[in-house]
Amino acid sequence: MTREVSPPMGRQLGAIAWNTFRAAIRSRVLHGIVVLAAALVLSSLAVGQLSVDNDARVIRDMGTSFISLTVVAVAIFSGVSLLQAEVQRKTIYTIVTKPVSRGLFIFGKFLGLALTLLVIEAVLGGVLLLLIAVRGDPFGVVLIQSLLLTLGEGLVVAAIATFFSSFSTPVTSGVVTFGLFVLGRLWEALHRYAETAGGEALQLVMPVAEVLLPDLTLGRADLEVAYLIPLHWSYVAYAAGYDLCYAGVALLLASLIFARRDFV
Amino acid sequence: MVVLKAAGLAKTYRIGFWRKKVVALRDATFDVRPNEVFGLIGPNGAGKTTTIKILTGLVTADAGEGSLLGRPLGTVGARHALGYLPEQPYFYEHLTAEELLDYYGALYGMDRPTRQRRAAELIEQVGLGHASDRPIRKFSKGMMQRAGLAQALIHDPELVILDEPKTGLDPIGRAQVDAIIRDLKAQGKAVFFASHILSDVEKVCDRVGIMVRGKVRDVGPLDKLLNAKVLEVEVLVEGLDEARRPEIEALGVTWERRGEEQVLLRAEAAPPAREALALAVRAGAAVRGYEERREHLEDLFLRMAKGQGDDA
Ligand SMILES: Nc1ncnc2c1ncn2[C@@H]1O[C@H](COP(=O)(O)OP(=O)(O)OP(=O)(O)O)[C@@H](O)[C@H]1O
Ligand SMILES: [Mg+2]
Repeated sequence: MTREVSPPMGRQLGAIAWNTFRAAIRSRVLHGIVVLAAALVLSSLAVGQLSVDNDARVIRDMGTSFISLTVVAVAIFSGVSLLQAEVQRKTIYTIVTKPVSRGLFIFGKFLGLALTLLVIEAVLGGVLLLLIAVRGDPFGVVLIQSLLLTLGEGLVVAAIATFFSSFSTPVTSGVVTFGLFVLGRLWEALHRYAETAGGEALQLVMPVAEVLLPDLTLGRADLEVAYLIPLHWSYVAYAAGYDLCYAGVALLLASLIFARRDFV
Repeated sequence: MVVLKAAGLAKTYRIGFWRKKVVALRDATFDVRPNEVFGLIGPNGAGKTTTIKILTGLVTADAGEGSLLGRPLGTVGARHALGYLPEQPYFYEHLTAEELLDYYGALYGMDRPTRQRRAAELIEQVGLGHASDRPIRKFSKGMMQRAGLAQALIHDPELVILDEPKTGLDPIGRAQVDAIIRDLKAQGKAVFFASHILSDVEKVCDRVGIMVRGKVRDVGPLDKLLNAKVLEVEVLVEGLDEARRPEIEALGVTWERRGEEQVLLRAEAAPPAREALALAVRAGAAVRGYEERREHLEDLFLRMAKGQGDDA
């Protein structure tokens, strides 16, 4: 038998993504997190009752915030161990010795993580929308839009975590990724601060930071969610495009680093 | 054409904060021919696993070059028709043996029906039929090893690289590995495996490479590597009088009493042994045994290991 043609990359990518996703959804830890997050979303009901006039708004605000935090937390934790778990458990020995390039492996793993985030978000978003529907609160398309933006943010954070974990330990990667996440959320504030108050050092750092730091404020629509103001779909598309490009570049860099590593 | 070629492969690891050098491999040079079973043997720490990691692309060599099935090491193309069993393999705990083989089959680009057929065949062949739907988390060490063998063969590879395939296996498992290797040979495949168990190599290999301290010292068919010279001759006689002892010992033959009646005569070569034997027969003793001991793989190993200081 001669095998001159490469195995179809789509099938390989799909297999890696599916296996990653399957490992995630079979993990007890993840079940726990999702149940806990769903409980938190439902708890906004109790907090809403405490509010004097607008409990529907409180539920929307809290619900979307909990979902976003859960997605980011899972993105960081799963992202930093995405490659590392395979290296430490030596399962990687049986993957990169197949006709699979290391870049393809990283993209497949990431795709599996993206699918996991999507499912988590769908479950939690479903709980929130159900709660809103059951209470008969007003529904706005911005709720869906905000969930999509949150997914994009999750992908960016997961890609950053994957990038760092391609060359450093999970703990370091996690800490650095969390730091970048916080800075990314403060992007606009940092920007304004640099323009008004900034000293010379900051003026020098800012252009670099602008390129490297992810602009995670793109993914926030708190005001719109609070007052049910729909976003332009073109804005959602722009934010999604930005997130995908950012994540893509981070993964590409991760692939370059990973391709040089020895698995001893 | 050769299916596997290693020319001057070398690797130095750097460990710890001070990046201390550890020379793992100094010179691996050998090749594996089509339809050949090649055994790489050497003591613990000789560099067998390091060689295999370089061949399979897990680790890049510092020096030297090589190819698998005509493609340079480290390329995706080199791994199309390669099957590989790592040392102490480890697999995804959340999968069953069936799911595992299905996953690996997909990575080789196999379609689903073929994957399922091969997986079922192999699970039987490696003796995991009773556990095919059990999660790997619940596998014993030997079962893990068997799953590892199955995944190395899932895509009907042209070349199979096995790193200590018999580790952790019971006697039945060991025999199954021999059978699998013979089977692969009968199908025209090439097998390359590493081991430090000498009898493994003696049984199934066409050629062996002997690795000591990071260097492949000798490559060839086993009987060519072994010294054909007789190392020692033992003659066991009965009823030989103690008075004959000085005469015998004068021949350079040692005299060793075995119980009341018997004497074991031991010589370093055949001629003095035969003279002693003739002497004993003339003296009326009965011959109970005659054995010429030639070099075994163990002796060769020791010989190589003794010589290892030469170029260290
Ligand atoms: N990751 C590593 N870091 C540093 N040194 C290593 C590493 N892996 C192997 N070595 C060293 O390289 C040498 C060769 O090791 P290798 O694992 O290739 O031996 P081996 O022949 O497979 O031995 P065994 O029969 O025990 O499996 C040893 O001295 C070992 O200490
Ligand atoms: Mg070894």
